[in-house]
Amino acid sequence: MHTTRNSFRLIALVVLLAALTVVPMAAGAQAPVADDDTLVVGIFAEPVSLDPARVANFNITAHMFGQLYELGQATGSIDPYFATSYSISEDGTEWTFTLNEGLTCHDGEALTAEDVAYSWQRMADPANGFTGNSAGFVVPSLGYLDARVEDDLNVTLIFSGSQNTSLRLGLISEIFIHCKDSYEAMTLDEAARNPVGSGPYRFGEWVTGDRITTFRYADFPLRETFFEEVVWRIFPERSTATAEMITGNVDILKGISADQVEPINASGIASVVNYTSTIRAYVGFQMGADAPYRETLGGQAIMETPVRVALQYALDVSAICTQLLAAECARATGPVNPPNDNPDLVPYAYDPAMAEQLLDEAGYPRGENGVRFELTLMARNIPGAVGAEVAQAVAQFLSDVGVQTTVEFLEQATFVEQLIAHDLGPLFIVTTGGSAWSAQYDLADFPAIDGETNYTDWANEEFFALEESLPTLLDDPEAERAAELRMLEVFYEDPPWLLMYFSPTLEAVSNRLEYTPRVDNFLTVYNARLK
Amino acid sequence: MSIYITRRILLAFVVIVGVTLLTFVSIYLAGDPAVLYVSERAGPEELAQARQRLGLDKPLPEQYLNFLGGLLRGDLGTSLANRVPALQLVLERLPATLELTFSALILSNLIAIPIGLISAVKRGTRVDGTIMLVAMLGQSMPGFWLGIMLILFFSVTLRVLPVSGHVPVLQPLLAGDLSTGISNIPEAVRHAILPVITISVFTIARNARLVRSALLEVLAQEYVTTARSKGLNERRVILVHALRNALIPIVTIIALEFGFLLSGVIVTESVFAWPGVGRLVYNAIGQRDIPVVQAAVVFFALVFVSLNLFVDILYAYLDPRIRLH
Repeated sequence: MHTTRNSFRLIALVVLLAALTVVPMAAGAQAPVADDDTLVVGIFAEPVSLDPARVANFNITAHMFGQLYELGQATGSIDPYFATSYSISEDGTEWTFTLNEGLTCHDGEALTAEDVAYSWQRMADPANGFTGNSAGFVVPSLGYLDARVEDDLNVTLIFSGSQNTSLRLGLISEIFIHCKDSYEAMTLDEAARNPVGSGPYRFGEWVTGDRITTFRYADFPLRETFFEEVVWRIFPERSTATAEMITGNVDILKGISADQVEPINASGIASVVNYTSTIRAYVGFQMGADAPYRETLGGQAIMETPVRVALQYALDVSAICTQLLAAECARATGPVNPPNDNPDLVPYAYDPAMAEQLLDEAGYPRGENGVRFELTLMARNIPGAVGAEVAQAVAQFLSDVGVQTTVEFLEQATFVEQLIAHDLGPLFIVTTGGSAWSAQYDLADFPAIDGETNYTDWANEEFFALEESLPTLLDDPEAERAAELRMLEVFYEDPPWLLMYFSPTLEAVSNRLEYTPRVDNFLTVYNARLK
Repeated sequence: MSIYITRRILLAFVVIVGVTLLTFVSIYLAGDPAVLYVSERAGPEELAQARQRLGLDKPLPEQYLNFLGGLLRGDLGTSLANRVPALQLVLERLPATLELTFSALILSNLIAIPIGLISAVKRGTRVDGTIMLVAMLGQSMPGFWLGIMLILFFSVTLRVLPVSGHVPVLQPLLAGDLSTGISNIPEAVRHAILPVITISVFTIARNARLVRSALLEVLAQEYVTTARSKGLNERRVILVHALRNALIPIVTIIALEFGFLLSGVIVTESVFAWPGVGRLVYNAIGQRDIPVVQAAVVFFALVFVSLNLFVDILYAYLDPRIRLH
């Protein structure tokens, strides 16, 4: 017994000694933590570049750079920023912007019309090989051709045609302005890692894999900021980010998952804000004629409008939101975000009996085994609004009305590849970014029957005829709006989507802050201040 | 002997090529990397441009041969995502990973060897049973779960250790900034405690069991009985005669363990937001950033194969019979 006790003592001593070797004896450098001068924002993915022409993280870039106009904090507004105003040429192809005086880039260089023109030209120059939202989406969507300097404070952007004003201005607000001299002096590789900004915060340090630090740019005249330093900390693991949040080391964390709400709210350190973002979540019906599953009963069934309408009644969106996403959310009636949606449309109700009745009437009665037809729902094993749990819930709701639905999970790259190729189906669950400032931006998911982003291959002739007519109605806003509203009616009556919701977003905010989160899918912390 | 060494080196090269081939094929099997480098609303044309720009439009065998050619020249390609040399990214992150793995190696053996020794000496007792039970538990616990539990207990509940993050020591030292490197040590250690424990628990448990079984085998040898019969002190018999011989296979395992730890830090680095090579690889796999994954794989494979080679050569010197096989 005596030797046993001694052995336990020895083991305890060994463990203690080992522990002592790693216990600190004095204070030294600190990992970044939130203090009175420092705001720490948690992010889940590290940007691959900080080049303003290749926006890899819109939120960080938006704090270091500015745009001619910007999406305001409030829903639907597009506000002047670097520009004070604009004028449009008669044919709508030339937009001239007047800049604020006294703007400078962070290296001290004055920011003039020449820099604005350079920013657009550099971003759109194929020789630079920029991809992503700016060069890959905004440039073709605008029909951008070139930029011309009028004088120090006036610059003209030249487009191939006229376009809805809100839509064009909103797209312009996605392009960041940077100074010519500093960027001409850098290679593309250098520019990716050493941004010379033009906005309210200047670049400080990028510790790869760990954080990006920015400091207040005292000479920025257009916006008041309340922290000397904003640190963007990178957390690959969500539970780690939550732990940092509830120990007070992170101030703002956007996109947390539902299971993290309770511990954060219970911590007394931070609280979770729940709001509806502009991101559209939906289940697409793939209706391409050549799809390999088209010959199956399920593949045939979803080609029929009554079937697609019937399935709308099978889905309990409210239950999905409250049970899986820890949020209340309204069911969407179409692809357009409020306030630009069609207010006359009533969201489809959850009414499984109605779904069954309509499916019977459509000629798809339950078989002896209770199954009407079978479908496969393609999804990704991710958290959130179109995550694995939501996909399985959707499949269960459809199965409950006799549409036997199986979820097939694809790896991210495969999913995106098949989405782009219009090969996902017969059902696929996905989100696409939307806006609160333009119905036509949201409708741009359906540019034409053979449009690249018409992932469902939906071919409603009336809808696409109206889409085609929109540019001709620019001079008649009422007719333009009437066309938009009719398009939304058509979409509702002949739905290419199993309509779900505009993604609820959960954002954790430190209790030490006075801060109002944005209501779109971006994150800006200009208005954050200590209580 | 030189033929033996040459053969081993050639085999090592084959292993590295094989590993890179497997990595290359497996990444491609998971999907086209180009789709992750275009906008959300990209069409086939933009996708084709991205493939061309990223060099992914060439046939797969040609891409792989280009990579091998680069490897021979010491050029492991440019990151598709970051557009910087892939090897540079790996080397930037390496000091953080080395800090973690070296600390874990030291800690695990500081604990495992004495515990294994006690367990062997107390064979069949409650002490032995307890140690082996704990060791089994240690080997059974998944790293990500243990890491999160440690964070919950020490960081969230007790608030005595940081949740995550890294304070560099090796990097400033390597850059010649001695004062920063040294002054960072206390805080660096505080940040390293939980991740080091997380990756050490498995190796502590395994090595304690290894030490125990090796020591038990040696303790049954006749020369140990002879030492005891000569009237030597029991402590001297165990520490000088038995443990020294028992440690030979253990030392081999420890050498190889470094490679194992290097490749095993991926999960730990993710849980503790530790900016090391493991996380770099984790992200690169998600981004289909083939050059970065390949650079890291080649680097890890080189370390592992070199350690293996070193051990093989050491064995060949120690035991001439090995050269005959």
